[in-house]
Amino acid sequence: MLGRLRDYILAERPYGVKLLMASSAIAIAIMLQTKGGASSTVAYDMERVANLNVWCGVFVGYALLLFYGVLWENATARMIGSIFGTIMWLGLFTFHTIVSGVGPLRGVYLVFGIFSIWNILAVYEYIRIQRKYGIDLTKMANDMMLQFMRKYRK
Amino acid sequence: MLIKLRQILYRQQPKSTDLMMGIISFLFAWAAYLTRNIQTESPVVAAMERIAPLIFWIILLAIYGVVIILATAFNYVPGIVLGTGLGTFVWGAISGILLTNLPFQPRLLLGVAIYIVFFVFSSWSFMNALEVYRLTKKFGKNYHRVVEEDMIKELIDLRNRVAQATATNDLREAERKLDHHVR
Repeated sequence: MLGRLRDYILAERPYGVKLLMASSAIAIAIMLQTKGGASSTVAYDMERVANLNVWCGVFVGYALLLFYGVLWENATARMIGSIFGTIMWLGLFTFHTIVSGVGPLRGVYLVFGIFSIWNILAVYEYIRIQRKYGIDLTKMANDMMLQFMRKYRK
Repeated sequence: MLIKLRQILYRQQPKSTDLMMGIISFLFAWAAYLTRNIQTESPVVAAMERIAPLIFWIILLAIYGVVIILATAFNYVPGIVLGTGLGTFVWGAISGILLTNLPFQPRLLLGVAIYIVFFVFSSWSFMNALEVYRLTKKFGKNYHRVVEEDMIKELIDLRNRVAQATATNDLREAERKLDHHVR
């Protein structure tokens, strides 16, 4: 059971979570600029620390790093993005909770933070196996998936 | 280009992204429920309530969240299909209603960005879930899981060949770790 759980945790699957977090970061950056609805409270809190344009730059930079890592299959970019994302999301969760108290929308930051930690572990495993055995796990998985698809999807 | 796009579209395994979307949707529903009496003057709420009461959308989002969390946790493919389908409908409906009913102000319309992101990822998940469901019905196996198992077999085989070629303490340590990893 634990072995299977470890398999699941440490297999870097392309790439839904990373793309979702990157897209959400861009959406949040847009919403901060508009200060519409719920994001107005968030924007007000964040402005206490830095100008909103700085925050938007941070979100967009993070998103671009992850998009680059995913679409150009660069493990280093994915690792840096995941580490940066973990710090950013968990930092935002902690900050908003301290400033405005516990709330479900803070939980979104916590969820992103937890999945970022998961990404760090998975990308680390990917890099470790690549350096140790010269295997590109993602390429191997993709090639096998394509072979399977060509064989069975008629 | 289209082949690459198709590869990207069908590469995603219905699991972690769906789990994340389910948790986030449940949190959104919870937040909306807690603030339902405060947000009575919000143009977003007003737009949603032209179609159905706010509580209807909250319940739909909460159901989607719960269904998808349970289905991915138990790897129940029909549940994942149902959950992702419901998510696509809910986020698509919310995005569509807001884009067509909100006053034409960029400030308000751009605020819909996050709902559109969730709609896009829900639809992607739904397409993959349908594909997995179709192949599971046809071959009795989840093709993502089959590929994973093939990959692990390849890794074990490679590890054995490497260990035979250069048996050192380092590799034995690596073998032991890899053994534990694939068991």
